[in-house]
Amino acid sequence: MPRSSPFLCAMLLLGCAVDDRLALTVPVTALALDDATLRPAEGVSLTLTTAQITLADLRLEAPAAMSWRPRLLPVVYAHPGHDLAGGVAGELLGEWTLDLLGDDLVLGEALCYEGPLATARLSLLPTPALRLAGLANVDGVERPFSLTLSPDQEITGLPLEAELSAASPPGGLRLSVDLNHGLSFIDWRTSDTDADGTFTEADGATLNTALFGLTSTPTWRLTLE
Amino acid sequence: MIFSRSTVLLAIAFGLPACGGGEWVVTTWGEAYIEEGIPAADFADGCSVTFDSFTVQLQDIALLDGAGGDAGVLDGGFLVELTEPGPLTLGRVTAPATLYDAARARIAPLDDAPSVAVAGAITCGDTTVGFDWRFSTDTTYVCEPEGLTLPRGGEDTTELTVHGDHLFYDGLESPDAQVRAEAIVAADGDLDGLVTQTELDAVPIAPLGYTVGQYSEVTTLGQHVEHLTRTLMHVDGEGHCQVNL
Repeated sequence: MPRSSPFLCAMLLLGCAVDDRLALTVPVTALALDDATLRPAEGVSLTLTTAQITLADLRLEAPAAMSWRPRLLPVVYAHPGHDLAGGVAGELLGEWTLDLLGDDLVLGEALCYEGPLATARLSLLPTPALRLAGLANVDGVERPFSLTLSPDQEITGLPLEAELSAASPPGGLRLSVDLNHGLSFIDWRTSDTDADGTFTEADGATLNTALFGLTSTPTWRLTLE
Repeated sequence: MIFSRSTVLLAIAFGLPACGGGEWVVTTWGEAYIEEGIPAADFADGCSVTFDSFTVQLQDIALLDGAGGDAGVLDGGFLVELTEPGPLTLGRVTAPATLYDAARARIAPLDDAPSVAVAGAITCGDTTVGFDWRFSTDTTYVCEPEGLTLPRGGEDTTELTVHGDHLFYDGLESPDAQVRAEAIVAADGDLDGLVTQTELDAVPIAPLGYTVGQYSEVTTLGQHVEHLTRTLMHVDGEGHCQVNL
C-alpha cells in the first residue's frame, strides 16, 4: 500500500502560488522475468530457483539543469556524494518485494506532474534487497549458488525520457530488471573459498561485484506505455 | 568603502537601481590538503598523500547577474600551481555595485595543456608510490558565494577553492563516500613504484567496493579518478558549486 506523499501533497496544496502544472496518476507495474535461465557471462548459465528483490519509493525526476536563481528543489553540487538529478516530478511511495519468478506485480499509482521527465530513482531495502539462488553451470561444471545482498542505498539516474500530459496520460509505467547485466560483474569462476559447497557472496570479491551490478543503472529499466 | 553592506542591501531591498561599480576580486586556493598534503587521519584506510604539483586550467570566470548573464568577466585563462602558498589572486574586474549570488568558472584544457594535472606520492603502510596524472576533463561550475556584495567604489572577493581530497573518494554519488587510496597503491602492476593512468585503467572497479551511482559507464579505477576531477571546485572554502556532468 503506498504511503502518503507529503512532498507532492504540499506542492499541490501550494500549487496556485508556486506551480500551475496539472497532476496525473500513472499505474506502475513491476515485471517478472521472462526466463528463469540467465547467461550473465560467456560460459556461464544460471538456473534460478529463487529471485526476490525488495524495493521502496520510486521517484520520477525532471531534467537536471544548473540554475543561478533561488531554488525550492535540490540541486547538483560538485562534490562526491551529490548526484545529478532534477526536481521530483512524480512519485510512488511504498515498499514492495518482487518475486521475479512469479507474476507481474502492480506497485500502485504514481502521482505525477505533467511535464518532462528525464530520470528516476529507486531505493533498495536491506531486508534483504536481493535473494537469489539456483544452480550455476560454469564451463560445464555445475554448483549451487546463493546470493543475499542487503545494501541500503538508492539506484539513481534510471533513464526515463518522456513528456507527461494530463490530457493524454500514459497507460502505465513498467519496471523490469536485467539480471544478465546485474550479475555480469561477478567472477563466476571464483573458488568456493569458504568450502561450504555453495557459491555465495562470501566467496572472493563477490559481495562487491554483486552489489556493483545490482546498483548499476542498466540493470533497471523503466518504460512508459 | 563608501556604502556599508547593510546600506547596499537596503537599497536592493527597496528596488533602487544599482549605480556605479565595484571591483570583483577573484582568488584561488588549494588549501592545506594540496599545499601540505592529506594526512592519514583523513583517509579511511590510513593512507596519506603529498602533492609535488597540482595544476588546474581556470578559464571563463564570470560574475553572474540575477538573470544568469555575465555581470563581469575575468578575461583569459589561468594555469595555476596550487602547491604554491595561497590564496593566489587571479585578477579583478569592475561590475555593477550590488549583491550577487552566483559566479561561474571552468576547468578545461587550454593550449594543449591538461585541465588538471597532479603529481605526488601516496603512502599506505610501508608502501609509497608516486603518481603523475593528467586529465582533459572539461567542467563548468556555477558557484554560490554567500553575501558577495560589490559596494560602489569598493571591492569584494570570491575564492575558487580546489579540494584535492576529492580525487580519492570511493564513491561518485554516495553520501557515505570515504577517502581511500589502498586500491590506487595496489594498482602498481609492474611494481616500479609509480602508478600510471594506464595501470589505473587496468583495474576493474566492481571488486573494490567503490560505487558509481548513475555513472555506470565508469568501470575502471582510472575512469573513477578521472570522473572525480569534475568535482574539485568549491567557493569560498566550503561553499557549493553546481555542475552538469
